[in-house]
Amino acid sequence: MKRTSLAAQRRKWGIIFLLPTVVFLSLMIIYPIVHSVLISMQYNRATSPNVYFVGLKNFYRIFTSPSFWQSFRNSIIYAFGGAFAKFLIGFAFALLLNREFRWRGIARGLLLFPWVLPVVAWCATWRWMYSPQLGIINQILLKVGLTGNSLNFLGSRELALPSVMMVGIIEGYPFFMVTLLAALQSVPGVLYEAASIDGASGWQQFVHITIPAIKGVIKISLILGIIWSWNSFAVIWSLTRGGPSGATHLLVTSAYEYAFIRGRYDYGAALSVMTVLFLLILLFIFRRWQKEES
Amino acid sequence: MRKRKVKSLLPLLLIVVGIIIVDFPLYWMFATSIRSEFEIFSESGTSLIPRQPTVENYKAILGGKLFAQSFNFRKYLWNSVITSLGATLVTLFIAILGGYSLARYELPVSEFISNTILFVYMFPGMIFAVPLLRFVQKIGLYDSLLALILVFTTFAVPFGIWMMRGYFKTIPKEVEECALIDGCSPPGVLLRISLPMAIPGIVATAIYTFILAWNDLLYPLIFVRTDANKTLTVGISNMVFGDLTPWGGIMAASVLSSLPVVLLFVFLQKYLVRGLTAGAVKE
Repeated sequence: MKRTSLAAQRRKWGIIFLLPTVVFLSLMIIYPIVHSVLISMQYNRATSPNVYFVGLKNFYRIFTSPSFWQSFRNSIIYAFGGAFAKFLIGFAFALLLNREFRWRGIARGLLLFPWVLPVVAWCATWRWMYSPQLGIINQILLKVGLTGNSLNFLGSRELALPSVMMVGIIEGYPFFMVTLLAALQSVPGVLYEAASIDGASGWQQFVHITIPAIKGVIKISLILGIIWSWNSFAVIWSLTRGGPSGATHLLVTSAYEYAFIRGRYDYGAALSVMTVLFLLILLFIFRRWQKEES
Repeated sequence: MRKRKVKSLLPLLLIVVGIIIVDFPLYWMFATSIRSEFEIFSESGTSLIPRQPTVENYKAILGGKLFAQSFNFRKYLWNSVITSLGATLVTLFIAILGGYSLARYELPVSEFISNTILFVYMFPGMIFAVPLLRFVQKIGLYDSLLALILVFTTFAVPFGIWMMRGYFKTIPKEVEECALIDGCSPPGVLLRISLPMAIPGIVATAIYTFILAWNDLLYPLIFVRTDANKTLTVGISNMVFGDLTPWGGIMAASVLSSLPVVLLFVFLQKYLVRGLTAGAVKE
């Protein structure tokens, strides 16, 4: 008898501790998401006090606008290409760091720096380095003779997206490096010793021991990397603000531009809803993919 | 013998080259910040080492002026500190209690709430932005630091709860159970036993939350308007897109805005990396 009342008392406290979380979730997360979906189906603008229901009209307008398809394409390239490049670079550094040497801690710290720096400061520096007239990158390219005239990295339609991606990749690879390094260090050394005795080459050990052992971490970090790049706002906004003429707009940045620069809350909300919908589709595919494997 | 030596030197060489490439912008930021604006626009503006190092850019931004434009650096800095600290405190309060409950009590809703938190942490900030702006306008907080603290929680709290939940799970619960059997009340156990043991996790969560808020650009762009309420991220970003770009001053502001987070990281690196990867690898 006493036991059940004790358990009930404990339960009561568990609920009390959880109360702030529940209030927070409903007020700051669930309510805004629901309201966003609602606004996406309204006429709702900063410039007009009128608000009324318009159904899926905003979505129809979005789907028939070329600028949406451009930002959609950019988002796909930026998220998948960017995450994959970050993964490759991060993995390479993780493998290089996964051995004993004297300055390992310092090397890891120095390789982590781009990730720690405030994105805005990091991007301001890159914008300065990319500058067509005085930027150090153009100066080096000219001196070495790789180009005859200076390149407008962030200002030309062809170069802008790759240039922005480069900044995002160097800023973001350390996450993969750190996570994969931790995974590599958790692989038992005995496995490698046994394989060496059996005469397996370094490459064979990598393919048959290392990769299978850290497969789970590879998958999770890739999924997270894609999602983060998909949602990336600050890198784009502090480098190009989506320009030149939309060449670097992602779904998120164009949602921001519609809602808060042009005052079209309805369009902005509809674009945000689309961003999340694609995210849900992505997550769904990943889940299926993981279930099939196991 | 010789071949072996080359083989072991190659990885080191690759690491050194990598460090030079990825950290060059950091050096360039600093090098530009100590050149005079005159030098930046002259021949020697791209020399690797500044010819005549100067602190004039730092003096200019601390004095609040860049190229005759006003650049209220000290005010921006103060706003960044206040809003990041505020968001961190609110987050710690909700995250310690919530994380503890989710890690220790198996309530019928625990799993659902944990999953929801992980799930919404993957959502872009934009999905919350329009409704929250309308909400903040309605309660009269638009264009205030309080509004920023409030909206920063949308990303800080889910992250904080997830970190704290993970940390509490690594602490063995036997000690707590003994105390409960001895008649200590649940809040007493949390306060006297669990909290002191969770201090490393709390510190890591606090630092990460602070850094997340400090670096955010989206919400300060949306929720404050007057110059006196802007944060460092907005201040720097506006300067970069001005008509005339005072790169020396912008780089000086970038160095100063990076300093707190870089220092936090340098001193606590080992500990922060461990906290983060423990969460990422285990879950």
